[in-house]
Amino acid sequence: MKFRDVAIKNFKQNMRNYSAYFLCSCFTIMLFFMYTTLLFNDAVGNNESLDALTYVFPITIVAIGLFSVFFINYAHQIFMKGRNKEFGIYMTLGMNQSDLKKQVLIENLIISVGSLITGIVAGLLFSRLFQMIILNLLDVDGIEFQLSFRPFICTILTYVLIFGIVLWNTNRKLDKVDIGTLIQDARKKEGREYKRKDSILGIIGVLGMILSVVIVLVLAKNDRMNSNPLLLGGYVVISFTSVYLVLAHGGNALIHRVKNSRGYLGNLLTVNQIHYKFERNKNIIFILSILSTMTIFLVASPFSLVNVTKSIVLIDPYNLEFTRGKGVNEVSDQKMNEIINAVDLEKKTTVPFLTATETMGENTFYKPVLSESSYQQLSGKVLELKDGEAIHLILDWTPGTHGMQKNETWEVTLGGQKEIISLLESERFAWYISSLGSDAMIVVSDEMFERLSKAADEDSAYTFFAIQYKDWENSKEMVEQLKAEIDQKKTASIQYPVDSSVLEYQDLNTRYFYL
Amino acid sequence: MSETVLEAKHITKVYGNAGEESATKALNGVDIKVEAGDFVAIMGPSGSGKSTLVDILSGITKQTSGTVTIGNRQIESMSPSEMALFRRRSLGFVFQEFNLLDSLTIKENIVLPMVLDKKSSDAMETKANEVMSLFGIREVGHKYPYEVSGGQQQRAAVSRALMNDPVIVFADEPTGNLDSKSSNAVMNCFKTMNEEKNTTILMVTHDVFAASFCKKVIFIKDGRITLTADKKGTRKEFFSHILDCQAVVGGESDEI
Ligand SMILES: Nc1ncnc2c1ncn2[C@@H]1O[C@H](COP(=O)(O)OP(=O)(O)OP(=O)(O)O)[C@@H](O)[C@H]1O
Ligand SMILES: [Mg+2]
Repeated sequence: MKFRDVAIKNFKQNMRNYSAYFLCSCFTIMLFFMYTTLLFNDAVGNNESLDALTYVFPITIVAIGLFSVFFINYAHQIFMKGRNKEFGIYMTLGMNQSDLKKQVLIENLIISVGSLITGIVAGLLFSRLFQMIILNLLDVDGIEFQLSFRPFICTILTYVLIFGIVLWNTNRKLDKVDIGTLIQDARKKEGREYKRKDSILGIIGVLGMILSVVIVLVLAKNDRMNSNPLLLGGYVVISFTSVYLVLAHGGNALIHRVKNSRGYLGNLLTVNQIHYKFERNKNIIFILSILSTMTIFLVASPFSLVNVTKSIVLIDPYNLEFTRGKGVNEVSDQKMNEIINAVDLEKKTTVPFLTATETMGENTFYKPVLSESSYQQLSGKVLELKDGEAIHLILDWTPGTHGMQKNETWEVTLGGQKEIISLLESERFAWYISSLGSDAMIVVSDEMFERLSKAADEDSAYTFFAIQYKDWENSKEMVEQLKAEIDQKKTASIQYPVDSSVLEYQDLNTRYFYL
Repeated sequence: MSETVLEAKHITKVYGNAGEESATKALNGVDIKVEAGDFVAIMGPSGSGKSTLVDILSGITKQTSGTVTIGNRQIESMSPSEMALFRRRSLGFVFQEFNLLDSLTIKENIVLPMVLDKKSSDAMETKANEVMSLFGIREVGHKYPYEVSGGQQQRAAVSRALMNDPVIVFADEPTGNLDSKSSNAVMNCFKTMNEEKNTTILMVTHDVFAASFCKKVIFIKDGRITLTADKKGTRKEFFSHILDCQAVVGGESDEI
């Protein structure tokens, strides 16, 4: 028998220990490979609707890389710890450190190369499916699956570097290993000693966990923050670190506290049992929690973001909004009805509005003016305005007063007609409307709207259409037809865009889809 | 006059930083001399420093002060690789913590020291069969550790310690987890080893029965040697003599 035979037998025996480490490595390599394949796909890079992805993907890939360093290193430490007895036997029998290092090096080479090959093969098998799912979620068609040598090189280089770091770290630790410490570790049945910093780090860990929950809540509540990659990356880092701190230090500190409390002797057995089980299993708990967090994060968050996006889109009760006027989005009534009615309607609201100039001191603005009853039709809310009274409603999300304040007096001019209005209220409308051509609108009493309409010429009289569908997700084709019809008449307007839930959703989706 | 195999002078060991509250003085000036062919047991209450002492004598742990000489080599002055070679060629270990590798059969475990020393297969075969026959475990040689009894495992560990014809064998609680029948068998192995191969043995135990197989018992308490008992008469007589000594020293009985 040669030592090589012993090493091989040991390697086989250790398969179960190795397999956790091996699987961790394979899993991260596979993820990495799938993302790099997508990133290096030229069609993805050239597709304009995927512009957002081209800066979000590299961030994700770097995140997976950093995660790998941490995770593979940790799994490796655990794996090495499980072998203290083996190393202790070798060393008492007179194996020296350099032989030990050589053996560890060979084993690691086998595992690294093995998991690199397995991870890439698994990545190859799944990357086509992965791309299909991602592009399908993004509603992007016409991107071919493409495989170049670049993802291979990128993955191999990255992981050779990572395994190099891990091995370097292990080698450094093996330098310090001697039988003395191995035997002390083996004798220590009580687990690690308590240190004061355990309490502090444990508390930091708990705070970190609370913080990460808060971040999740903020992310879930706040539409604009959940597209911020920095915040998301911070969340991942904080949650991993805090779970680690709580398990590695907090548990130790807690057990120390319990042991030193008065009731300890009475509960000796149970506390010791819990401690023993905790010490034995905390590494596994940690690995599992990280792996599941990572999986949830990678799998569930794109889906949940899709849902968040949907709910943002659906704040607007109407699924199609557009303005028609002279030279603006011209389409005949007949053609329009034909196109719009192709999909089942829930509700259709048609309201007239005027664009008037409002003057206050030096400043003049064009703003859409609607009547009280039109406002009621649109929003379902009743206003009771006297003649000369008006309210100002902000139609986009930008903060500020948009130049109008409550209780101010304005001069409205249309045609030759001049009216003085006093603003009762300046507030935000129930949803954002971009197709009224302005950041805000003025609602006046029906009598005043009547007078202004008479004075208005056809250039400043418009009609606003708001349509609600039974199944808006099916309305894409119809919306595109309408746009095509308008385009054909060369009256598509930048100021008065056609606004549809279905296209907005698709657009948001693409922007939110950073993973 | 027999030659001295191991000599330790003024050994002290402090765990932790001296002067700090947490520092433990585990050994407090121990002198020991072991002659060739000796079979010595070290006894004492838990925490008295027994394990610390064998660890230091066998070069596993570094002492805080004092010297240890084995054969004619001073072990604290050896480099790590010299120490490794020295262990491989000249020392035998039977430590509870590091018994057998689960991945190897009993026989493979036993020949491991020779494998590490790159001996020829024939030499391994001959030696392993000889030692296994001597200790009555030849028929379980092809089995794995988990397939044999604790006593057989421990006898295998004892066999392994003999493979490189060591000048001295160190053992820490070799009968620690065993029932009386198995521990009898294991102690008989040590006895055979000592009598037939003239191997020098230094063993830690808290078991009076196991100690009664030895030729000499050294009692330590609070890091100091308090008493030494030499074997006179039969094993039974020695057994009760050890019990008496233990009563004087204050052994396990005033624990707990
Ligand atoms: N690594 C260590 N760090 C700090 N103190 C230690 C360490 N190892 C042992 N000690 C202390 O040194 C003293 C002697 O320990 P040692 O293990 O030598 O006792 P022992 O006689 O072998 O006890 P037992 O019969 O329980 O095995 C004890 O007080 C112990 O707590
Ligand atoms: Mg001990």
